[in-house]
Amino acid sequence: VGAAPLAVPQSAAANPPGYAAAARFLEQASWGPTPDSIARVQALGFPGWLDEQFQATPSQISAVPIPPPPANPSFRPVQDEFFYNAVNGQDQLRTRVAFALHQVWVVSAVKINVPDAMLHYLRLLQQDAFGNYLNLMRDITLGPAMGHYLDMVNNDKPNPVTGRGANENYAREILQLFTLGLEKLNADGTTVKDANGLPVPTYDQEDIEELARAFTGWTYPVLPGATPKTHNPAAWTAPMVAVESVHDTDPKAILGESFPAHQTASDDLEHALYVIFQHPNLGPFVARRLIQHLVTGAPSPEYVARVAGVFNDNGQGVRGDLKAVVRAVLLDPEARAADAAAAAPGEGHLREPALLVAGLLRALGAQVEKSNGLAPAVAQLGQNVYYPPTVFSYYTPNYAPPGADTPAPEFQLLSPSAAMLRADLVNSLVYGKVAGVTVDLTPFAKLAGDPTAFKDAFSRTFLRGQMPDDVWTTVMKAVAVTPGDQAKAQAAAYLLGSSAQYQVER
Amino acid sequence: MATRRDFLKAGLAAGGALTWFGRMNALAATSANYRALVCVFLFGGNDSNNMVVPLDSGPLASYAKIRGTLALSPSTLSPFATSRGAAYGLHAQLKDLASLYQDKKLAIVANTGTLVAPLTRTDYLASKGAVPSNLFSHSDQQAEWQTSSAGSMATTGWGGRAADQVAYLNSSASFPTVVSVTGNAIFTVGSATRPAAVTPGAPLGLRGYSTSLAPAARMNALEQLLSLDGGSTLVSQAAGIMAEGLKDSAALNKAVTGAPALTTKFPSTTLGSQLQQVAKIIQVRDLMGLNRQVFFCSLGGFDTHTNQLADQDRLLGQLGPALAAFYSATVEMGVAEGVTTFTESDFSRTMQPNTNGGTDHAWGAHHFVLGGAVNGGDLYGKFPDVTLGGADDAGAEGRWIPTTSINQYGATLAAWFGVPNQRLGDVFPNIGNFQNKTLAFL
Repeated sequence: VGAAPLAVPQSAAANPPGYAAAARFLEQASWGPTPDSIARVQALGFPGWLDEQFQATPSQISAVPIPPPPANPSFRPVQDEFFYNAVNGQDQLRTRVAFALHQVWVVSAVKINVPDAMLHYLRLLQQDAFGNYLNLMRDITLGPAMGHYLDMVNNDKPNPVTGRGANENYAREILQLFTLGLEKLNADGTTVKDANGLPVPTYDQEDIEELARAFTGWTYPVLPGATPKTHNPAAWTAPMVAVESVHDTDPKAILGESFPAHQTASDDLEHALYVIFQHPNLGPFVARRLIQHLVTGAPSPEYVARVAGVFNDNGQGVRGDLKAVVRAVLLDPEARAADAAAAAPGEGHLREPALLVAGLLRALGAQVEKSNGLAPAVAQLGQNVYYPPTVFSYYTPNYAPPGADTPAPEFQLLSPSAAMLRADLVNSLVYGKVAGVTVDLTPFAKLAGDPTAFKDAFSRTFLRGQMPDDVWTTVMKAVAVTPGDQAKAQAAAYLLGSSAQYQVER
Repeated sequence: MATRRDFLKAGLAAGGALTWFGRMNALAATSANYRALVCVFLFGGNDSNNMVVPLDSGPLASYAKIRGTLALSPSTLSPFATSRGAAYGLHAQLKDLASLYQDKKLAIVANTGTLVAPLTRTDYLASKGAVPSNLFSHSDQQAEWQTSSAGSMATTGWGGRAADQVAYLNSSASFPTVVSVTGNAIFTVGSATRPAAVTPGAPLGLRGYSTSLAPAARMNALEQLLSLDGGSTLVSQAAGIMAEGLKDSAALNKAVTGAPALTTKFPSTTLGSQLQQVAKIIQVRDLMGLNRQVFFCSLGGFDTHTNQLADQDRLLGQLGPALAAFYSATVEMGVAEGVTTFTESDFSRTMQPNTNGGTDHAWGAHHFVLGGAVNGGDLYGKFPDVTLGGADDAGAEGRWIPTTSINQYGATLAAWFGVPNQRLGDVFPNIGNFQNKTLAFL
């Protein structure tokens, strides 16, 4: 249901990208190219298209109806809407970046399958995707979903009588997974080594314990009409609130920075977030994560350094400007090099399951309804959307397939068994029926009698108009002996959709 | 307990199984020396302080005082004694495992963890001596347990390397030595060994095929496409993984076709389904020419920073019955002596609880080893001194410095599995740093 393309002056793009280049750019910047979106990129050029996307109205993230007790609201509508928006939404770049940020700042419905809680979190990701990283850090940290997921909510100051310390969970994971990582990084994302060639840790156990104390003294927001308590009952639609009586006011030392005594909960939190935000690891850390999710699993240090430089300063003295960072990721010479030349052998990344399915459906012009059966189907492939198994997300950024020495993170989900299940899901979409999804191959079937047009249609839909001869010759061996135009189109769509050449973006 | 005769009768009664039995009987002799290792990884860091609780008065009082509201009541535990006369109790959800301990099929290995070399509190606090990198980090400690190296960047796991060493025993196999039933895991990767992956309950083979002309041509095309990589290593790797899946599932499908159902009932849980899948593969080991196998299973959710009592109760309630059912299945199949199951986990958790009903990341942990070949009914290694800031504490919160290393734990399993003593260093690079390379539990 793509809206009609808006009128664009012919001069908008100085050097309009070709079809293949536009399609390739959209594999990185959206949930997959469509004829309309390719035309739009060709008309506006890459920077112009990005500017338009930065202004696009965010997709709706809808409330989930609450059934009468004792029934609990289902989480499925949240997942269904994810796929609906990925396939149909006009704010393609924002939803794609928000999904990448979800995989960095992980909250999982495994622990919080309360739709309201996840909706608040997902709206923050959507809202902050093109904002400042410090705002994202603060919003997610104080969101009740993260508060519950990593236990910052109702985390009280240490108890000198029982000797119990503050809960270290959030303190540890915000540093390790969301912002800095375990090892000190050079500006290009490579690891700082000591005189013995060993990595230098970013922080130690004492930093964690001190940061855990800085994060004490927060509880759920007060429900309308309720009396505020030290530990409010769960509430999900506003940020957590401070309770000074359970905040640790002793002095602290975190990442080499002294925190004076008697700071309020809010002072300590802002202070801690600022120290993390200013840490030199943050730029290369964020740069590498976003590059990996959008463009390539093993970027060069130079590419990371260029994007990190933009994170550190957007050109106007502002640190953490995500809009500038996203632009830098997608317009970098390394991201664009293969638009006009062959990709390097290890360049690109495997389409993660949600991207594979959304991309295939967009390419085929499928109709996806608000309520659909895509989430359980994609979960079979190892990516149950919004249910990452742990705070380490669906897959880890450093995963390298057996025998490989460079990261290809999405391959962590590609076991031999999962690879077959991917082909089976393509089979279901092409030959069968997934609820709420309509794939109509008639436009391809109509071309079955015209070999050139038939090939061209599949080439433009699946492989940017660059179908390798050997691939098509092989596909046609099966198509040739398949009776019926519709079945011929199905065979070609199935073989191409399940092929490794399609499943890897490069 | 089902005997082999019952098993045969059940199979013969299940019409159509004759062919399968014909194939099995022709191979009956090959399984005599069969051995398998089954790793059950408890992801998130299982709090073993509440899994194995000391019941002798001194340590019990110390445990109760430190744990406070997280202390388990001794009356709920399944008590057991060690050969040295010490008393302990297993968590209430592990009654089945307590019985297996009494039957001498289950051993407990105390305070085991990642170590480069033996380490004392004094040296640790003085930053002397080698310390594993990135202690207390989930991902790194999971990797170290699986790779048994002193760094998180290893590219092979010790399960895969152990399989490398015994490859000659599987020389005519139609199926990989190592199998994960829980997705990709570095434990399963060797230098020469590539793992199979089986998703419990998933069909063996691709959907939508038959032998008629068009589908057969489609399958041919799909297989041919796997050899076209367009100059991309990523495409080549993705295609290679799919090709492995096709080959492995065809081999497994051929072997299991007609196999009689096991009579052992498995719990309908994540781990129950995984272990049932492992049992089904062991059942057809001879038909696939496998004399040695390694399996990887997992259960997640052990990162109990809050709500620990209820959450761990639920998880151990899944672990105990699933392990017990699996042991019964190995008895049913007549391979109990040849199958050794063991636990791993990121780390244990602080003896000292935190302020909101949970515990934080720690280090050394107690683990289970189960099987007919296990010298069960005893606790091996050294139980930690349950004192905050005591001789075994890495700090002041009860993060026990391991007194048995994953190297020794793994080497004991690997040596039983068939890795020659002089090759243990190839599987466990740091084993030479430890005086006792193997323990007596196998």
